[in-house]
Amino acid sequence: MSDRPLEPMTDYEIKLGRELRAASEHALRSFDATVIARSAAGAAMHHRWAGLLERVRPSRLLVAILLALAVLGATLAIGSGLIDRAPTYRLGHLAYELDGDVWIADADGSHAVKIADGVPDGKMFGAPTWSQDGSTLSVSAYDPALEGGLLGPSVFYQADRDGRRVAADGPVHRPGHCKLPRRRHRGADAVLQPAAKDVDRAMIW
Amino acid sequence: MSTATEGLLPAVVASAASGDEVAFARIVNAHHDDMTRVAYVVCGDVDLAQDAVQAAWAIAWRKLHTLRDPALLRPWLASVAANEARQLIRRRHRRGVVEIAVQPWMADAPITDPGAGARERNLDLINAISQLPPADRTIVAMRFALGLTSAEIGQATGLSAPGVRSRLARALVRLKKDLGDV
Repeated sequence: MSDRPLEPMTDYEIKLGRELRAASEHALRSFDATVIARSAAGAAMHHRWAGLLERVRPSRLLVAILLALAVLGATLAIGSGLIDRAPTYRLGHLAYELDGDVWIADADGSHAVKIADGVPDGKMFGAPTWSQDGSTLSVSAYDPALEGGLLGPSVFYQADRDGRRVAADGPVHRPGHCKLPRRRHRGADAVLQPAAKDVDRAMIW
Repeated sequence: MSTATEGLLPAVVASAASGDEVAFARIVNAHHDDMTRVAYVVCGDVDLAQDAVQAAWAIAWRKLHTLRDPALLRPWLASVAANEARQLIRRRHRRGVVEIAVQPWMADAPITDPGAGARERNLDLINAISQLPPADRTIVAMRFALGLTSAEIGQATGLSAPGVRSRLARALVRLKKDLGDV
């Protein structure tokens, strides 16, 4: 009944075709067309969702969910002022970090003074550390205006107990990868420990 | 060439494309064996061929509406089955699983079996075809196992008819050589 044009084959091709059909004969199985049709339709029903899940690898999905939860948690914590950490105490004074700012207070928490306010220019301060004699405080900071921004290197600032700058003659510590301030065993001041060899200046504040 | 295959009315295809399971079952009935043959020739493994055809029917159900000309149903289905068979081979290779298939007719055949010669020939043929590039296996299966024309194969696989003919000619030369039929 077909009106499709036939394409003649050579004798060898006809023989090859016969052999190929014979060779593939044993691959044939009895089948139920209705069952196959139903299962094909059923597979299609699930295809959209299954395809979507296949494209998103489980590990990536998990990482994405964890990241989303972490960001949500951090946002809520910052919004409600929950991040209050790294308290340090010396000679009657506390210093601590709160939401990227640094505060100094008396030992009982009273008379709190914000000495480093990160909000106006987007800096984030942290890791306050007193000098040995308690006269100056070193504070690390991430400055978005500097190279690398918030993900870049830390710079360090120093303040006296009242929150005034210790020195105002410009930066003496170029931004570099610095470790947290360590106290010197002998001597009065907190010492910055630059990890980078090319650090030649410290920013004193 | 199956008469059942040729006898399917365009209306049946249209009906199946619009989601009629009964019409689709008629298409399955007419073409399942053809698709199994093509898949087997492409992958050379009975179980893989069955899996490929199963997957091919699911695809055919979803994409039947994209088939513009119902007359091309048979080549189209054959190419879907061939593609699935090729993908299954690729996946198997990627998993690093190499199975040496013992063909049932070889496993069960006593040495003095009078049909042993034909079975050896079958095995040689499947082995020779497995040495061809996958795209050539597909068109060899479509042309010789199903008797499709170069134009039909071309339309189903996206090649030109002369392109199909030249690939077939090249594949034939290689098969003849491998089978010692020169």
